[in-house]
Amino acid sequence: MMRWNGYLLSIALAAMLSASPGIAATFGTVVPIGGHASDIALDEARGVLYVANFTANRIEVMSLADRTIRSSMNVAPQPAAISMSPDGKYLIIAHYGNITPADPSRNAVTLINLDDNTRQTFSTGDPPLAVTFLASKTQAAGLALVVTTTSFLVFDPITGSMTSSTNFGNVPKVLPASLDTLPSQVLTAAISTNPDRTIAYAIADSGSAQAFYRIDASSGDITGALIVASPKPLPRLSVSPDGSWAMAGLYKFSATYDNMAQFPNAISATQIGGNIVDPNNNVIWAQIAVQDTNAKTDPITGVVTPGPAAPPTLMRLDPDNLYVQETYSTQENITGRMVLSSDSSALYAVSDSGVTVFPIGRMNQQNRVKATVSDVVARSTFCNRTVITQTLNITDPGGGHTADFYLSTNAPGVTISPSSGRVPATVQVRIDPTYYQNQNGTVSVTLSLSSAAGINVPPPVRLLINNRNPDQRGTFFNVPGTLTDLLADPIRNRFYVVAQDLDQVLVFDSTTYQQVAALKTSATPTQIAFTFDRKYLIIGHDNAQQAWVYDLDTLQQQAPILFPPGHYPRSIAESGKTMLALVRNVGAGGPGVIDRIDFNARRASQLPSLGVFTNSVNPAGVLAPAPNGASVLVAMPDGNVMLYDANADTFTVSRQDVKALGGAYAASSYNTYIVGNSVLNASLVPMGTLETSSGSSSGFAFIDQGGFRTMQSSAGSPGVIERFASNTTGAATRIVEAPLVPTGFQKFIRTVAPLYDRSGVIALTVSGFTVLPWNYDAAVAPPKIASVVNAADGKLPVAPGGLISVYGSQMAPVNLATKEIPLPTVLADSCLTVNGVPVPVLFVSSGQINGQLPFNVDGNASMTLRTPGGISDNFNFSILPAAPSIFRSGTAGSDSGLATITRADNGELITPTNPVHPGDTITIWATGLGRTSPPIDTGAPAPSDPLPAAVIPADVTLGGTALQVDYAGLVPGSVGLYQINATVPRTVPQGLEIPLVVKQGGMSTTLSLRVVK
Amino acid sequence: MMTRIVFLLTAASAASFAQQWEFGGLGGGSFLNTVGVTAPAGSATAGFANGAAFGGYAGYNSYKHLGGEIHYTYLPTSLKLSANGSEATFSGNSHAIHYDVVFRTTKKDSKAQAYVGLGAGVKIFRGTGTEHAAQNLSNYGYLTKTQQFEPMGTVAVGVKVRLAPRVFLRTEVRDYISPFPTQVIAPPPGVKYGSILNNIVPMVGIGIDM
Repeated sequence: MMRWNGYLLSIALAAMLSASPGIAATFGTVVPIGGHASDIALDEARGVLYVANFTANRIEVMSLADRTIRSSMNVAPQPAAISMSPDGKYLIIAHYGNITPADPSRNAVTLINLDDNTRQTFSTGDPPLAVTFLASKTQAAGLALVVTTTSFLVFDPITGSMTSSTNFGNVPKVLPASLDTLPSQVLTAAISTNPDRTIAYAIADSGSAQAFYRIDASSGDITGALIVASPKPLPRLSVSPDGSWAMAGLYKFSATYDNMAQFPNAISATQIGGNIVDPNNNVIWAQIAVQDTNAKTDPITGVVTPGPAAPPTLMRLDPDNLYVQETYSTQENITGRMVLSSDSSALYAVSDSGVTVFPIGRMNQQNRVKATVSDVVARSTFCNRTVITQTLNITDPGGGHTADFYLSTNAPGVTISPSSGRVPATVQVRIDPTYYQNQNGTVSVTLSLSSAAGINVPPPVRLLINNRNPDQRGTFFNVPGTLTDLLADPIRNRFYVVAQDLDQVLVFDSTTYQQVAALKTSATPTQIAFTFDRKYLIIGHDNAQQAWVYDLDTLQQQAPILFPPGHYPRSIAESGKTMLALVRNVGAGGPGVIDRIDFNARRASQLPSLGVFTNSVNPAGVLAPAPNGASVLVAMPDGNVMLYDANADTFTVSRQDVKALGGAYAASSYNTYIVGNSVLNASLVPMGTLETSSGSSSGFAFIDQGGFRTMQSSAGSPGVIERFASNTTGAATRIVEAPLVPTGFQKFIRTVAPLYDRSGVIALTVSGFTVLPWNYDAAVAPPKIASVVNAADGKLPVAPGGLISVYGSQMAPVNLATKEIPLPTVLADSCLTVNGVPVPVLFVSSGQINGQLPFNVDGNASMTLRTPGGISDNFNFSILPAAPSIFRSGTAGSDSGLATITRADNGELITPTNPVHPGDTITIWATGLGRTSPPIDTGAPAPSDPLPAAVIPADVTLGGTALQVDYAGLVPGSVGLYQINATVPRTVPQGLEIPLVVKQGGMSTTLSLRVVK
Repeated sequence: MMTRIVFLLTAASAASFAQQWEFGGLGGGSFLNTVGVTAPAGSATAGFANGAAFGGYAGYNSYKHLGGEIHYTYLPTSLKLSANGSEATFSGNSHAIHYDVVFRTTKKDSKAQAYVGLGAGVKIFRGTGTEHAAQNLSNYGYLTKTQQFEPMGTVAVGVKVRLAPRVFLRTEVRDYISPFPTQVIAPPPGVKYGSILNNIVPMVGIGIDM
């Protein structure tokens, strides 16, 4: 018995000590129906949901109130699709009879009058696949549109008449199907309407192609398009409120069948998926199957082993670009139609077991967890050997819930406290820089966030740990996201960065480097381009057959450029003559082609040929326009390069001198081109190779006949920037972190943008972008230290923990003060150490640095300063255990340089007009009182509880009369600032200049105060 | 100084049993000179603003033309510095306590009598304003919240006119002469002040003799 109890205890302890959540919570309630659900119809008036049970030959009636199957209606075999009439009177059921042996009599529709429960059955001849009711101008019940394997049938529920509308290619699907495939592989057609049933969209899959249809109920017009879509969409449709677009599986397409956006990395699913447009919340709810990122391919046999099945999820998508706003864990996969309640409070979806009900109107009452930021940045230097602490807030985005959370990482030297708890929570992420001291760049670490109670799938947090040396130039700014392109505005003080995973182009002010706007894009923006008149910004996409356009003066979106079916415009460039696009082509004609864009018409069309060359290019190629509009360079990863000549209005050069190209690409106005490390002449003949010892090609930008080039050896390296002139590059200068290199399908990237006012150079780097001064490589003289004094009265000696002023020359490139607490140990690239211990600094300038002497240095000390100009000579000085000194920084009226001693009575400085009176309590503001108890970290603010009192007692006399010292120690909330609170006795002598002496250990400081009775 | 005042009061009180006493109250104005200020920053004046004066006295007429009186006068007046058209002030007041020997022109029960008083005592100067670290014209002086005792001489001339058998109208002009109070208005180092403060106080009052 005892043994059993011990076993139970072990289990309990193991559960308590477990740092990771168990089975996560899920969103939604599953209602099993005991068969395969093939379609659903919502009857809000009666408070029920009708569920077509395809295999049990029933219509299940589910109560919306308690989500139970209250009753079932037995119907003819294989109810494949159902729909409610607009007036709620009729339910129509399509029966799929395409089973072996063939029996056309099974192909029928059943019309149920829901008011009196009478039923009528009507033969459809061909197997019906989908059905929907449309609004009618003549009758409230509307007309039913039935999609059969060969045609549309219009069915009048009043008269029972059925007429054929349009014939289309046969959709051959025959039962029985193989195991585990029903019903989705059978029902290869679908039809859905907008909420007012005026517009319907239908999709029918013939196996080799998909037919898309749009039905206008008011005019009766049916238009259609035959599309070979890849990946092939599941026949799951939902329609926008105005009928101007619809979602079909992974695609958002327009009324003219233009691919407006498609979900990235989606696959041709056979069963899993569904979507619904939510007009009230202006979102799309969907599940879309994506590529198995965990699949492994045997390098020898080529056999692909699938990864673990992806857990079922529901996504909330931005209807403009299908951007995933939030993902929720669900119990099971969606496998059919999704319908919304009229107020969007509840979402019903056909799912594995039958129906899943999602209470989306009560989303904020669900447990969710999310970090408030995407990135956490830790800036370290070789100077900083102390632990860096950054805070991260984890909250419930819906409000006041207290779900559990778990935040973890495998990165060395990173600790999280607390690593679990309940939201809202402020988490401290501590980074031990000693783990990264040999890493002179930025390391990206993933912090995984999870929750057992939360229903959402929280995105991870990126921890960026930067460690730099003083010779690494530039200041980096954090920009979350996958950044894929950069352009500086040639006439405005802005630059533009493509954040591909956010579906945005970020606009930054090139004076303040602050983001001023975020331009929404369609799915997966790749590259941006200016029109030749610099008035418009054009955005290419890898998951939309459109290029979006923004007016750069107003930053307002304009009509997009539409591309031919199958053409995804990845790269765009305009010469003085024409605008071209290099497109990924999934249609006929090759994987990549070049289109010409008619900007005024906002239409693109494929060029029949590229001059004398075939219009077939590598889809991972890019276009680069010469600034003067004379040419457009085409660079391809297979080594091919081409040149479009604007004067000839055709492609005049095509060469392949190497087998592979990648990285940087640029075209100058002087017939010089850069692709990777190659310098090409006007005929694209290589005329030089740039050095490769600094790493991989990252970015290149021309300025006149010169330019800038960036390179990286690895993501965590410093990376370098080089100045380009005379077809070669100069010395490499290390920058603060590595520039980006192309990833994924992109083989070329632009990561350098010289600002057109020549105030600086922007480089896309690991954390976001780095700003370098134009003369970043100018020679800088080494620093010199001339003197060290306390910062209070500008004299010696100094004591541990005291504020000091260091005077010298070439001490910092700029004047810069910090408000950062704890104090940084590097400011404006200046790093001061005493006996090798970093000195936290408050202010740096060329001639002076103010900082706090570390608590852990004493006696004879040696100070060293490191700047971009080099390392100073050692400056030797003495540090005493205590060296009290009173600040002379007080001001009163026009008087300055006053001693900072205040009267408690009025809080004002003691001056001859605000003299000391017997019985007064005075506060002496000082520094240099030395170590404290409890000890405080150097650079950190003093706490208020417990108060850190000076270890060496301070004595204060006024006119030889001892004052009662109530407290002598650090000022709470401040760094290196001490205060002495003392009470003046009644017996104090009066006079105009009574000496006040502060004595600590063997050191004292004296000044005069006026004392009156 | 306080010891001497107490002695005089005690002497007067002890002598009062068989003598004729006189009591009264006076009110009027207070007009003060300013002293010159010599400072590195230039010249200025320091002193007190003109104001009101209120007081009372008790006298003893021991002889036909000679008597003695003890006086108290309250002088609410602000401390003041002036230089270059700028002025700094600070609330304050003064208290004057003194003993006078009075010489009358006629005998003590005459209808009207002129008199001259000569006396000595103490004047208490007090600064009562709110102190601030910064004060205007502080390079010429510090207007201070403190009090200072100064010896004082006084001379007065006046007339008494009998209104009723025991009531008379009394009017006089008095000058309080004292050292300048350099703790209440303190000269900064290197600054020199004039040394004598004259406080002219004309007053009118009612007296009763018993």
